[in-house]
Amino acid sequence: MSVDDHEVIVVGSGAGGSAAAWALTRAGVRVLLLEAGPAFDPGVDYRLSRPDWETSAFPGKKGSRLPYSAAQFQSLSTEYTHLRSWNVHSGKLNKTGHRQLAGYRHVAGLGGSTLHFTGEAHRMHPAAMKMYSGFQVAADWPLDYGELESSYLEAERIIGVAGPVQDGNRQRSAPCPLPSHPISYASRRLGEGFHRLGMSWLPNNLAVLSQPYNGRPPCNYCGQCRRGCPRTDKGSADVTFLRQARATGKLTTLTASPVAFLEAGADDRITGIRYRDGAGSEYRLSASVIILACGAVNTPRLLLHSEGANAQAGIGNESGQVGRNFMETLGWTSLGLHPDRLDGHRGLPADAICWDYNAPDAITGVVGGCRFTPSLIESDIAGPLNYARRVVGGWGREHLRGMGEQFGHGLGVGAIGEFLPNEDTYVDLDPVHRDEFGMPIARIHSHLTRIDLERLTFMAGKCREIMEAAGVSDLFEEYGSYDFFNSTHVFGTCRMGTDPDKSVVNSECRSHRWKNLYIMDASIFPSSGGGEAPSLTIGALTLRACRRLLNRLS
Amino acid sequence: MVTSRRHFLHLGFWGALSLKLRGVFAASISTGEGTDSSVCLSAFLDTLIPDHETFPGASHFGISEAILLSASVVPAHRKLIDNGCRWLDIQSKKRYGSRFDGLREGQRAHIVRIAESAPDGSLPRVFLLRTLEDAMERYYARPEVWTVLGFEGPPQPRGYPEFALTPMKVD
Repeated sequence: MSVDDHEVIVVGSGAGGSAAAWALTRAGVRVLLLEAGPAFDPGVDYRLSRPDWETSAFPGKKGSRLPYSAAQFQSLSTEYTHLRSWNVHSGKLNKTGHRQLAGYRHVAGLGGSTLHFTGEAHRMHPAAMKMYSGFQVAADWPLDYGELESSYLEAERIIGVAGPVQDGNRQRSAPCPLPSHPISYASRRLGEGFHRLGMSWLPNNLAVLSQPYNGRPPCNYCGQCRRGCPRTDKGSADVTFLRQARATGKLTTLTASPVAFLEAGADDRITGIRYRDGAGSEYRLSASVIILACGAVNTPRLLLHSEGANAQAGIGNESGQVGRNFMETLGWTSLGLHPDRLDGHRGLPADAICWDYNAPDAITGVVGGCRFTPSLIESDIAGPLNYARRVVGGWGREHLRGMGEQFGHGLGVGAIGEFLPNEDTYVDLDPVHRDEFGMPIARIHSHLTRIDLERLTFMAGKCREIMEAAGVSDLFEEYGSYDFFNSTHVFGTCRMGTDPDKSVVNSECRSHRWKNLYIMDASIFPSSGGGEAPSLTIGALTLRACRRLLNRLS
Repeated sequence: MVTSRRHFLHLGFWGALSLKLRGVFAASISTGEGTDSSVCLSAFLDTLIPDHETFPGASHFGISEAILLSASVVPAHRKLIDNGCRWLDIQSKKRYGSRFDGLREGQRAHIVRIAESAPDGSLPRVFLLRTLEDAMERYYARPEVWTVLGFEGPPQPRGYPEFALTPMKVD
């Protein structure tokens, strides 16, 4: 197939774009997938066998990080000193008086940010999808959990999700396709703290194979999912949806091909797209249907940039809602030393979870939930070098003595919580900075309101309680969202809803105005959930929407 | 889970170092005749990572040579090493009448503590932090050191299949 011979163009190949490519190609639809970043070769690019593996994170390749900027964040107050990030050797990690940008963590590449995710495969709490009718905050999803359940199950089966029979408050029509992973020794010792506080501690739902599945091997528990999985047991989109989509023979993929513009026709249809190749040459394509799946930062960027005579405020922005309702990740982590050696670098990074405070009304006096997981490995206290840097510190005999005594004793717990949309939190086009081809980059504005800070205070306090109950009285580091913007999961800039004046797409992920434009990524989430990882929900929403799209195409 | 903490923490601990280096490179130490950077750096590294009980020292692994080789293609880094070593020798002669490599262990440690307590961004502090980081990266990538720590080695290809069991090495 030539690149001109396709019925559907999908822009972006992460959790949503890949799922769309799978759903459409298996039904016989010819799909062109445009990915801004490169392809990664798991066996070559993920260098976890090297002695110096700790010195590098997920590999960077040309084009694998998209540019963005951030407006000045809020000033820090003495009222929230207890939420400042710190390390026993470095002191405050943010030494300024303002919240700082640590990063919008993403991967541009075939498979998107699933390439560096830890594989958490969560379903939304049903009540977290009805935040407005239930709690008068955020917005309701235009569908409920029950309407999404079969799509969740379908996505779990394609990806290969391992999880327990019980799944918090989420009703299941069938078990996860794979049995849950055993909880590691260190996570069980952390679980002692949860149990002493009367809290639950369950195996987490993970897109990581506990048994061989669809030609992929099971996990060997190296813990380094975030550096990329060389074995392909982690269910990133490239080895699941895309691999199967490619097998249909109906998928054409172009990497290093960022889309720069959507052309808006007079008939409320997208008449074409313009993309660039690695050399910067621009090409034009058209198709019956355009699906955007670039994430909550770059999808609004593309829409806002694509203004023209027929879309004067940008495409899909008739309501002024493109870029609004941005939601970041609210997180807290406490790390300390346990009296016993635990070797917590072994096992999956977030192999257990506590959902007790996940419901929107679970935290007394604060709307919006959260969840707790182990966090030592994800905090990268997983090898000698980071013990040396961040736990032991110093030099000379004292340092070596400390390494001998403390290596393997680290333990950590983290909390991720709801972030409620507010007027000061949005994505727009940077008025000054542009990418290498002259396109304005996305600019992030994010503001923590009092209710977010109260929730964060609860999360931090509970993490400290859990650590103490687990036998850790000696913390060496804590960090969280109060003084750093540091998000992988971002949501909400193209809200899904029933009212065209208050949302961008409908429950089928279709633009209210533009008849052949769909958005299938986390930008459509009306609320963030109480700490649920979004990739499975993105996949489920996409599969559901593609069923309806196929009906239209047929 | 969500946050990519590696990048975030890198920012806090190490990310600012390159900014500090710029200022240091602009200044040059003009004294310290006779300093041999390779000799001095080796002594410096053996002070930072000495032989200690079952831990081998830095000199067992040629870390000094590796750092100098790496710096040979980064002129600014080589300049930092030369200036830092001159600073060590100047301090050593001033306090003990000998170059750094000729001092006893306790005397060397005293000089390193002076560097450690120097102001942020100053030559001795930047030289110490950069060299310590370079040394640690190489030292903790050595299988001999993993054995002492009871660390199994890199995550792949073996993984950690005993993840659910009590650690083999218990204090």
